[in-house]
Amino acid sequence: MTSLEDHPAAEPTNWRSLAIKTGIGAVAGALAAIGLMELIDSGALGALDTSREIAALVGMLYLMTAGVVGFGLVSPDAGSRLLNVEDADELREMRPMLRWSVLGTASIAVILFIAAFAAPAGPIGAPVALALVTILFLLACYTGHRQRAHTDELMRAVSLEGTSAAFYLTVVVGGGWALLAHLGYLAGPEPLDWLTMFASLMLLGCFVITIQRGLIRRS
Amino acid sequence: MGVAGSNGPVKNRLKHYREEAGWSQGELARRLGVSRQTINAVETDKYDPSLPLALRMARLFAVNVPDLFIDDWEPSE
Repeated sequence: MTSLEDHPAAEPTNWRSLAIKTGIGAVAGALAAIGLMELIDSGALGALDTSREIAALVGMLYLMTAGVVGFGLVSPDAGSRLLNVEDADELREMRPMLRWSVLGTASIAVILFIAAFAAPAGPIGAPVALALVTILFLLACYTGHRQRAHTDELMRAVSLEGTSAAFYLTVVVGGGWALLAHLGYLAGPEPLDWLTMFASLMLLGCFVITIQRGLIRRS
Repeated sequence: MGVAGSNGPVKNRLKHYREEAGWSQGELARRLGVSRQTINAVETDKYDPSLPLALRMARLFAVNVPDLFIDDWEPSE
Protein backbone atom coordinates (compact mmCIF):
# COMPACT_ATOMS: atom_id res chain seq x y z
CA MET A 1 0.00 0.00 0.00
CA THR A 2 1.29 3.43 -0.89
CA SER A 3 2.15 5.73 1.98
CA LEU A 4 1.03 9.30 2.23
CA GLU A 5 4.55 10.52 2.96
CA ASP A 6 4.95 11.86 -0.56
CA HIS A 7 1.76 13.80 -0.21
CA PRO A 8 2.04 17.35 -1.53
CA ALA A 9 3.17 19.83 1.06
CA ALA A 10 1.46 23.16 1.49
CA GLU A 11 2.49 25.65 -1.17
CA PRO A 12 5.17 28.02 0.19
CA THR A 13 4.21 31.67 0.20
CA ASN A 14 6.11 33.85 -2.25
CA TRP A 15 5.74 37.12 -0.35
CA ARG A 16 7.47 39.22 -3.02
CA SER A 17 5.17 38.02 -5.79
CA LEU A 18 2.14 38.34 -3.51
CA ALA A 19 3.14 41.90 -2.52
CA ILE A 20 3.65 42.91 -6.17
CA LYS A 21 0.25 41.50 -7.23
CA THR A 22 -1.52 43.10 -4.27
CA GLY A 23 0.31 46.38 -4.78
CA ILE A 24 -0.57 46.56 -8.49
CA GLY A 25 -4.22 45.78 -7.68
CA ALA A 26 -4.35 48.38 -4.91
CA VAL A 27 -2.71 51.13 -6.97
CA ALA A 28 -4.88 50.41 -10.04
CA GLY A 29 -8.00 50.30 -7.88
CA ALA A 30 -7.13 53.54 -6.10
CA LEU A 31 -6.37 55.34 -9.37
CA ALA A 32 -9.62 54.14 -10.96
CA ALA A 33 -11.63 55.14 -7.88
CA ILE A 34 -9.99 58.58 -7.74
CA GLY A 35 -10.63 59.11 -11.46
CA LEU A 36 -14.29 58.12 -11.12
CA MET A 37 -14.79 60.33 -8.07
CA GLU A 38 -13.18 63.26 -9.90
CA LEU A 39 -15.64 62.74 -12.75
CA ILE A 40 -18.61 62.51 -10.37
CA ASP A 41 -17.47 65.52 -8.34
CA SER A 42 -17.14 67.58 -11.53
CA GLY A 43 -20.93 67.48 -11.79
CA ALA A 44 -20.80 66.28 -15.41
CA LEU A 45 -22.98 63.31 -14.49
CA GLY A 46 -25.47 65.28 -12.40
CA ALA A 47 -25.74 65.68 -8.63
CA LEU A 48 -25.17 62.13 -7.46
CA ASP A 49 -25.77 61.08 -3.84
CA THR A 50 -23.71 58.62 -1.83
CA SER A 51 -25.76 55.59 -2.94
CA ARG A 52 -25.10 56.40 -6.58
CA GLU A 53 -21.40 57.03 -5.94
CA ILE A 54 -21.00 53.66 -4.21
CA ALA A 55 -22.92 51.87 -6.99
CA ALA A 56 -20.59 53.46 -9.55
CA LEU A 57 -17.52 52.45 -7.52
CA VAL A 58 -18.70 48.83 -7.33
CA GLY A 59 -19.36 49.03 -11.08
CA MET A 60 -15.77 50.18 -11.50
CA LEU A 61 -14.59 47.19 -9.45
CA TYR A 62 -16.49 44.84 -11.76
CA LEU A 63 -15.14 46.63 -14.82
CA MET A 64 -11.57 46.35 -13.54
CA THR A 65 -12.08 42.66 -12.80
CA ALA A 66 -13.34 42.12 -16.34
CA GLY A 67 -10.45 44.20 -17.66
CA VAL A 68 -7.75 42.24 -15.85
CA VAL A 69 -9.22 38.87 -16.90
CA GLY A 70 -9.66 40.19 -20.45
CA PHE A 71 -6.01 41.27 -20.41
CA GLY A 72 -5.10 37.75 -19.32
CA LEU A 73 -7.00 36.33 -22.29
CA VAL A 74 -5.25 38.62 -24.74
CA SER A 75 -1.84 38.19 -23.13
CA PRO A 76 -1.75 34.98 -21.07
CA ASP A 77 1.96 35.28 -20.21
CA ALA A 78 1.61 38.74 -18.65
CA GLY A 79 -1.90 38.02 -17.33
CA SER A 80 -0.78 34.92 -15.44
CA ARG A 81 1.44 37.18 -13.29
CA LEU A 82 -1.59 39.19 -12.21
CA LEU A 83 -4.30 36.55 -11.95
CA ASN A 84 -4.92 33.65 -9.56
CA VAL A 85 -3.66 30.94 -11.92
CA GLU A 86 -0.77 28.50 -11.97
CA ASP A 87 0.67 29.62 -15.30
CA ALA A 88 -0.16 31.05 -18.72
CA ASP A 89 -1.29 27.64 -20.01
CA GLU A 90 -4.03 27.55 -17.39
CA LEU A 91 -5.37 30.82 -18.78
CA ARG A 92 -5.24 29.39 -22.31
CA GLU A 93 -7.08 26.26 -21.17
CA MET A 94 -9.75 28.34 -19.46
CA ARG A 95 -10.12 30.77 -22.37
CA PRO A 96 -13.51 29.44 -23.61
CA MET A 97 -15.03 29.90 -20.15
CA LEU A 98 -13.25 33.17 -19.33
CA ARG A 99 -14.43 34.84 -22.53
CA TRP A 100 -18.02 34.53 -21.34
CA SER A 101 -17.02 35.45 -17.81
CA VAL A 102 -15.45 38.72 -18.99
CA LEU A 103 -18.58 39.57 -20.95
CA GLY A 104 -20.87 38.77 -18.00
CA THR A 105 -18.73 40.71 -15.52
CA ALA A 106 -18.57 43.73 -17.85
CA SER A 107 -22.37 43.56 -18.26
CA ILE A 108 -22.86 43.79 -14.50
CA ALA A 109 -20.40 46.71 -14.39
CA VAL A 110 -22.39 48.61 -17.01
CA ILE A 111 -25.68 47.79 -15.26
CA LEU A 112 -24.32 49.42 -12.10
CA PHE A 113 -23.04 52.45 -14.02
CA ILE A 114 -26.41 52.91 -15.75
CA ALA A 115 -28.27 52.57 -12.43
CA ALA A 116 -25.90 55.07 -10.80
CA PHE A 117 -26.17 57.61 -13.60
CA ALA A 118 -29.90 57.21 -14.31
CA ALA A 119 -32.60 59.85 -13.88
CA PRO A 120 -33.79 61.71 -11.92
CA ALA A 121 -30.37 62.70 -10.57
CA GLY A 122 -28.30 61.38 -13.48
CA PRO A 123 -28.26 62.10 -17.22
CA ILE A 124 -29.67 58.74 -18.44
CA GLY A 125 -33.44 58.80 -18.87
CA ALA A 126 -35.42 56.23 -16.89
CA PRO A 127 -36.94 54.41 -19.94
CA VAL A 128 -33.51 54.18 -21.59
CA ALA A 129 -31.95 52.97 -18.35
CA LEU A 130 -34.66 50.32 -17.90
CA ALA A 131 -34.29 49.06 -21.47
CA LEU A 132 -30.49 48.91 -21.30
CA VAL A 133 -30.41 47.25 -17.89
CA THR A 134 -32.95 44.65 -19.05
CA ILE A 135 -30.86 43.82 -22.12
CA LEU A 136 -27.65 43.68 -20.10
CA PHE A 137 -29.26 41.54 -17.41
CA LEU A 138 -30.40 39.05 -20.06
CA LEU A 139 -26.90 39.14 -21.54
CA ALA A 140 -25.38 38.43 -18.10
CA CYS A 141 -27.77 35.47 -17.68
CA TYR A 142 -26.85 34.17 -21.13
CA THR A 143 -23.11 34.45 -20.48
CA GLY A 144 -23.58 32.58 -17.19
CA HIS A 145 -25.36 29.82 -19.08
CA ARG A 146 -22.58 29.64 -21.69
CA GLN A 147 -19.90 29.64 -19.00
CA ARG A 148 -21.50 26.63 -17.40
CA ALA A 149 -20.83 24.55 -20.50
CA HIS A 150 -17.10 25.19 -20.04
CA THR A 151 -16.84 24.72 -16.27
CA ASP A 152 -16.00 21.53 -14.46
CA GLU A 153 -17.19 20.33 -11.07
CA LEU A 154 -14.66 22.30 -8.99
CA MET A 155 -15.66 25.59 -10.61
CA ARG A 156 -19.35 24.73 -10.21
CA ALA A 157 -18.80 23.86 -6.53
CA VAL A 158 -16.98 27.15 -5.88
CA SER A 159 -19.67 29.07 -7.75
CA LEU A 160 -22.46 27.37 -5.82
CA GLU A 161 -20.77 27.93 -2.45
CA GLY A 162 -19.94 31.53 -3.39
CA THR A 163 -23.56 32.20 -4.26
CA SER A 164 -24.66 30.63 -1.00
CA ALA A 165 -22.16 32.73 0.97
CA ALA A 166 -23.37 35.85 -0.87
CA PHE A 167 -26.93 35.08 0.16
CA TYR A 168 -26.00 34.83 3.85
CA LEU A 169 -23.88 38.00 3.62
CA THR A 170 -26.86 39.80 2.08
CA VAL A 171 -29.10 38.56 4.88
CA VAL A 172 -26.65 39.79 7.50
CA VAL A 173 -25.65 43.11 5.88
CA GLY A 174 -28.91 44.03 4.12
CA GLY A 175 -31.18 42.45 6.70
CA GLY A 176 -29.23 43.98 9.58
CA TRP A 177 -29.30 47.40 7.96
CA ALA A 178 -33.05 47.13 7.27
CA LEU A 179 -33.73 46.05 10.85
CA LEU A 180 -31.70 48.91 12.32
CA ALA A 181 -33.55 51.33 10.03
CA HIS A 182 -36.88 49.79 11.03
CA LEU A 183 -35.99 50.37 14.68
CA GLY A 184 -35.09 53.97 13.93
CA TYR A 185 -31.36 53.73 14.60
CA LEU A 186 -30.33 54.86 11.11
CA ALA A 187 -31.64 55.69 7.64
CA GLY A 188 -32.80 52.67 5.63
CA PRO A 189 -31.10 51.40 2.48
CA GLU A 190 -32.11 53.09 -0.77
CA PRO A 191 -33.40 50.82 -3.57
CA LEU A 192 -30.07 51.30 -5.38
CA ASP A 193 -28.22 50.22 -2.23
CA TRP A 194 -29.86 46.79 -2.54
CA LEU A 195 -28.65 46.46 -6.12
CA THR A 196 -25.16 47.46 -5.03
CA MET A 197 -25.27 45.01 -2.13
CA PHE A 198 -26.31 42.12 -4.40
CA ALA A 199 -23.41 42.85 -6.75
CA SER A 200 -20.72 43.58 -4.16
CA LEU A 201 -21.65 40.77 -1.78
CA MET A 202 -21.64 38.29 -4.68
CA LEU A 203 -18.03 39.24 -5.35
CA LEU A 204 -17.22 39.08 -1.64
CA GLY A 205 -18.97 35.70 -1.23
CA CYS A 206 -16.95 34.13 -4.05
CA PHE A 207 -13.76 35.69 -2.68
CA VAL A 208 -14.44 34.32 0.83
CA ILE A 209 -15.09 30.80 -0.51
CA THR A 210 -11.97 30.90 -2.68
CA ILE A 211 -9.89 31.82 0.38
CA GLN A 212 -11.70 29.31 2.58
CA ARG A 213 -10.96 26.50 0.13
CA GLY A 214 -7.30 27.55 -0.04
CA LEU A 215 -7.60 28.23 -3.76
CA ILE A 216 -5.88 31.62 -3.63
CA ARG A 217 -2.38 31.10 -4.96
CA ARG A 218 0.27 32.47 -2.60
CA SER A 219 2.90 33.07 -5.24
CA MET B 1 -17.07 19.09 -1.19
CA GLY B 2 -16.11 17.93 2.28
CA VAL B 3 -17.41 14.68 3.68
CA ALA B 4 -20.30 15.20 6.07
CA GLY B 5 -19.19 14.74 9.65
CA SER B 6 -15.49 14.96 8.84
CA ASN B 7 -13.12 17.88 9.43
CA GLY B 8 -12.34 18.51 5.78
CA PRO B 9 -11.31 16.84 2.55
CA VAL B 10 -10.09 13.22 2.68
CA LYS B 11 -6.44 12.44 1.94
CA ASN B 12 -5.63 10.90 -1.40
CA ARG B 13 -2.83 9.29 -3.39
CA LEU B 14 -3.72 10.85 -6.72
CA LYS B 15 -0.32 12.48 -7.18
CA HIS B 16 1.45 9.20 -6.48
CA TYR B 17 -0.55 7.28 -9.07
CA ARG B 18 -0.35 10.11 -11.60
CA GLU B 19 3.42 10.32 -11.31
CA GLU B 20 3.68 6.54 -11.46
CA ALA B 21 1.78 6.69 -14.76
CA GLY B 22 4.18 9.40 -15.96
CA TRP B 23 1.42 11.92 -16.58
CA SER B 24 1.43 15.63 -15.93
CA GLN B 25 -1.52 17.25 -14.17
CA GLY B 26 -2.62 18.58 -17.57
CA GLU B 27 -2.52 15.11 -19.12
CA LEU B 28 -4.57 13.61 -16.29
CA ALA B 29 -7.03 16.51 -16.49
CA ARG B 30 -7.42 15.93 -20.22
CA ARG B 31 -8.03 12.21 -19.74
CA LEU B 32 -10.65 12.88 -17.06
CA GLY B 33 -12.30 15.81 -18.83
CA VAL B 34 -11.72 18.28 -16.00
CA SER B 35 -9.52 21.36 -15.53
CA ARG B 36 -5.91 21.23 -14.38
CA GLN B 37 -7.04 23.39 -11.47
CA THR B 38 -9.30 20.56 -10.31
CA ILE B 39 -6.50 17.98 -10.41
CA ASN B 40 -4.24 20.36 -8.49
CA ALA B 41 -6.96 21.05 -5.91
CA VAL B 42 -7.58 17.32 -5.38
CA GLU B 43 -3.87 16.52 -5.07
CA THR B 44 -3.36 19.26 -2.51
CA ASP B 45 -6.41 18.18 -0.47
CA LYS B 46 -8.33 21.35 -1.24
CA TYR B 47 -11.17 19.60 -2.98
CA ASP B 48 -12.84 16.19 -2.72
CA PRO B 49 -14.01 15.10 -6.18
CA SER B 50 -17.55 13.95 -6.81
CA LEU B 51 -18.25 10.23 -6.64
CA PRO B 52 -18.41 9.87 -10.46
CA LEU B 53 -15.03 11.60 -10.83
CA ALA B 54 -13.49 9.52 -8.01
CA LEU B 55 -14.73 6.35 -9.74
CA ARG B 56 -13.25 7.50 -13.05
CA MET B 57 -9.92 8.27 -11.38
CA ALA B 58 -9.82 4.83 -9.78
CA ARG B 59 -10.74 3.20 -13.06
CA LEU B 60 -8.06 5.12 -14.92
CA PHE B 61 -5.37 3.89 -12.54
CA ALA B 62 -6.94 0.41 -12.24
CA VAL B 63 -7.22 0.65 -8.45
CA ASN B 64 -10.10 0.67 -6.00
CA VAL B 65 -11.46 3.99 -4.73
CA PRO B 66 -10.26 3.30 -1.13
CA ASP B 67 -6.73 2.82 -2.53
CA LEU B 68 -6.92 6.30 -3.99
CA PHE B 69 -8.81 8.15 -1.28
CA ILE B 70 -8.11 7.61 2.40
CA ASP B 71 -10.57 8.53 5.11
CA ASP B 72 -9.53 7.79 8.68
CA TRP B 73 -13.11 7.94 9.93
CA GLU B 74 -14.11 5.05 12.18
CA PRO B 75 -17.70 4.14 13.04
CA SER B 76 -18.59 4.87 16.65
CA GLU B 77 -19.87 2.12 18.93
